[in-house]
Amino acid sequence: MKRDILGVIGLFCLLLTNVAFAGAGQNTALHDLKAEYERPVSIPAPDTNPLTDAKVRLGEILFSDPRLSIDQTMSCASCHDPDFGWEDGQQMGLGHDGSRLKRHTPTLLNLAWAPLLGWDGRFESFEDQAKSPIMSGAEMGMTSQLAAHRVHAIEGYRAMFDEAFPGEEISLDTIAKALASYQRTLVSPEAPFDRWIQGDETAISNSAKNGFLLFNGKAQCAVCHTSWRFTDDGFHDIGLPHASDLGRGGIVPGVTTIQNAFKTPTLRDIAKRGPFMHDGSLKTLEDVIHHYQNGFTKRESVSWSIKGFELSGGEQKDLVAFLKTLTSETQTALPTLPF
Amino acid sequence: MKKLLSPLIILSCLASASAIAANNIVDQRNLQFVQESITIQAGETVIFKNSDRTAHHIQSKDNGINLNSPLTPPGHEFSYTFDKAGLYTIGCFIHPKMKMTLTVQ
Repeated sequence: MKRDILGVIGLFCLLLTNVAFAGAGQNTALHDLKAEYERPVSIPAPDTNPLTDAKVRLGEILFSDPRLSIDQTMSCASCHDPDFGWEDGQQMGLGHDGSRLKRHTPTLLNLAWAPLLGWDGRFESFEDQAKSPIMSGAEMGMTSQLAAHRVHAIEGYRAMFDEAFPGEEISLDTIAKALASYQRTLVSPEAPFDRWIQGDETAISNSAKNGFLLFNGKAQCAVCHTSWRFTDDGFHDIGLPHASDLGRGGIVPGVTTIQNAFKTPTLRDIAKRGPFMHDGSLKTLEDVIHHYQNGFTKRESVSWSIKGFELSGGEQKDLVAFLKTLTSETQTALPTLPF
Repeated sequence: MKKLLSPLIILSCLASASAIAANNIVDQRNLQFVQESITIQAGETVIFKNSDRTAHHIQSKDNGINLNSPLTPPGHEFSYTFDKAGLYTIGCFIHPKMKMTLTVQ
């Protein structure tokens, strides 16, 4: 009898130990998972254009200056508006003459860490990218000479260029370097998710916490939307129905994997950035989840990572709740032109 | 005695082969090549393992080759024999930030 009682007590202790161990294991796993999302402490910049305060201040003014467009109606900020997560809230971008562009305006957030820029990755540096919309006939419609001439004609700019680029002339290259420097500083502000990662358990709801587990687990979003920036900097065909835009396939032809493939965008400030996708075809985050769940077009080039999944209605809400925690409450104001 | 030597010779050959193979195995993990660069001899084969959560697609266009691997899902590997000496930049079509160099002597 005594042996039986001891046996039961022993078994009970073993069970308790196992439960405690399992709980500790889960906590460790969650701790490790959260560690993958810690933010970096500094912004990278190339040796050929190191970040300086003078360049960033100059770039910030140029970014908001419509004199960099042919008819002086459109600045970089016309399409990249901080209130819309540095997008424009429209399905497709807009040119200086009011015509629609072929793709949705991408965000500028956290691109200092991106190896390639643009939906199709055609730009290898911010310095190259910054010239493109200024020179594009469909966007700002300028020439390099006219851009340099207009800026040079303004005394305030001449002083700022002297400080930012001593000994260098005002040119499209130095304009682009200043814009690149400013855009590298467009880092998503701290969001509730970051406060949770730092240990504040009250920063996000239990629903959002469950959404985080779904994001990393059943829904497999984190396979591509990875790290603190929530992107793998990769190119994927996500199975949107209209495949006339080859995306990365237009830059690197003949490779099935990257036909109709577009760069994985960050999910930071996502609640401000609808509509979604490179063609702006999905209006809400719920639409996006439905697309990845079972709404994507199946074709040979569709990303290996996109396989569909089953989520209950409650789980979908949890996932949306989590995604919204990636949006900061911080308001960013653009400067008033000083001259 | 002869009977004893044969297994020893086979074992020795196997050990040597696996040592070479270990040098020539490139792992892909956390969206990068674990080895930034390796050096091999012309005619040797490199195995590209995928230990990531996502698929990769090896590519290189140096020294006259047009390396365009099949899609390599997680847990799979792809092997390629480099016959020509030279410096190769190896990348992934899907994740262009993945880069490594391979020197073939």
